Amino acid sequence: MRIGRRSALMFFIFLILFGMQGAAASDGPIPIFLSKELGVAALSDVATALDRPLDGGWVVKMAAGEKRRIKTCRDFVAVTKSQFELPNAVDWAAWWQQGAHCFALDVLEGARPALRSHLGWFRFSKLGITKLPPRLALSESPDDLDEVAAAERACNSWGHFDETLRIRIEAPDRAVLRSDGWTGRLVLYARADIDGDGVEDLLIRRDGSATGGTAVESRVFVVTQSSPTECARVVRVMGAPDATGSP
Amino acid sequence: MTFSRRKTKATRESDKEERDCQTVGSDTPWKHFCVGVPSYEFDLYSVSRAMANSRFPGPLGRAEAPSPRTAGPLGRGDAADPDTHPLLRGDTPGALGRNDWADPDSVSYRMRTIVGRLASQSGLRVPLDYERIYRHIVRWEGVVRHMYLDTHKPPLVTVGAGNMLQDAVAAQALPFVNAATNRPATKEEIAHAFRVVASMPGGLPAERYHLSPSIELPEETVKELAISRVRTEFVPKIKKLFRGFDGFPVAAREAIIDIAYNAGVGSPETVVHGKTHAATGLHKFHRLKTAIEAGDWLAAARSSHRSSSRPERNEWTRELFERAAREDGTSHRLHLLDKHLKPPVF
Repeated sequence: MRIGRRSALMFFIFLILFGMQGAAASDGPIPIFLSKELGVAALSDVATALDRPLDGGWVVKMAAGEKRRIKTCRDFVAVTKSQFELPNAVDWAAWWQQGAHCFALDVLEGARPALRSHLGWFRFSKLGITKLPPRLALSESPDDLDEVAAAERACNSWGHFDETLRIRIEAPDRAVLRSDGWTGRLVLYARADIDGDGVEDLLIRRDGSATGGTAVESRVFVVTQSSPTECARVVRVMGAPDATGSP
Repeated sequence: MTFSRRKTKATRESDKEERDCQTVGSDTPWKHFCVGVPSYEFDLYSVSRAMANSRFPGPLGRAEAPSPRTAGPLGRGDAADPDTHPLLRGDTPGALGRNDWADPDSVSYRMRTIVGRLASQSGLRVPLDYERIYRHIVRWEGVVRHMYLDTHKPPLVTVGAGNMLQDAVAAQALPFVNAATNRPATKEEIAHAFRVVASMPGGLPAERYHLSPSIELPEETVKELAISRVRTEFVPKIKKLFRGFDGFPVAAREAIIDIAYNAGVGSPETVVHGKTHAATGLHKFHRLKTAIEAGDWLAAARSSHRSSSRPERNEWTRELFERAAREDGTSHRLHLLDKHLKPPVF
């Protein structure tokens, strides 16, 4: 009887371990997740969404002096590759805030279902978010950036890097963030193979604003994990021109 | 207005360079990035001020430009702006950085440097020019005379240079004007404008919140509000952080105010109930703080980068610190020190 109980316990532990392994590296096409905030139901809708009219009727002034009307996300992504100026500096934050959505759609146009995933552990929960890379924090100073780089080298998670990070989950794909010196918002835009290597990536948007200052930034991050033993890392950042790795 | 146009040798060379560039391709959008813009030995500042209010549709909603002395590429009145008259180009401490007041070859720069260095060495305290600081705010942050929604979630009703309005009552406390009648707006008009703007979606260009008739603040009030905020909210906190702030070169003080306005002054690292709270805002710029405290303006220039700021603004702030180094003479001292402190080569 005792042996039977022990066997059952062993079998139960085996089941748990097997399940965890399955979560760490799944094989076969993995279902895509797309946030409602993107306004697309499937990857096939992304191209149409890129051609949808933008809110606001933006007009920018190009380097040569001519004015250009930015009607769609495609226009937005194209103009950010050139030098331009907004009519009023006050619109700078709103421009990039709206643009984060466009950057996300732009990278999703080439996305496809992943064949493998080492991000099976990630759930859009407080715990899941704290396990993301520290690069998602709002880092304003060169000292901040150095600290983030050191934390990434040490494979530290965001939660370990910033113990004051407070997270409130608002929706299955949306959270409010608060930390020392800044507040923000996080949106899980998508789970899919974004960079074409067959491995699942996360497409995450983070908006942040400095407390007591005017600094505001909206960035879109591509997070991936190449193997079960590696830590999750940011492979691409999109946002205002100074964002590392921005187009 | 009359002024002399005696050109320096460097200026003549840069004129030639400009002609060369325009010959190569006057239609290229980047021609201004290869030109050497002419500089003249007269006070560009007074000329630019005299002409500032005439040509550009500025953010204040009238045919007004904050100043042609703006920094980055395509700044209004900037050397990179094709609308800018060649005579007005170059008085920019911006990305182009040539033939402007930060250009060590220009006479006006030399004069400013000599005056700044004399003031610094004699212990004189040069007061801050808040009008200039306001122009920096207009340049980098923008101002809006009517109510608009900012980018917070949820968005907040704001006016002027980021003056948040808690509610309609807060708005009614400000001297809004009905632009159609050019008379002070009534409390009902202000409350109505507040409600309409508050009900609109956030994240749109500020111009989209412009109502008809427009209920807006006079330009002077916008300026007063911005200056008052810098004077009462930022400068006292900065002075607490840097005891010698009043004695710093003017350019360094302007750069510090810009960073504080942008990143917040913040607070130093604290430990509360055994939990460490990281430094925030300006306090978070450890290397910058150390450099400022040591009066090492070149090191401050290298540590002044903000990751959320546009590159032109970062470049401009860096140049301000570099100018402070020239004014203060620290660049020369550091250069000499560097020379003498080099380890011997065996």
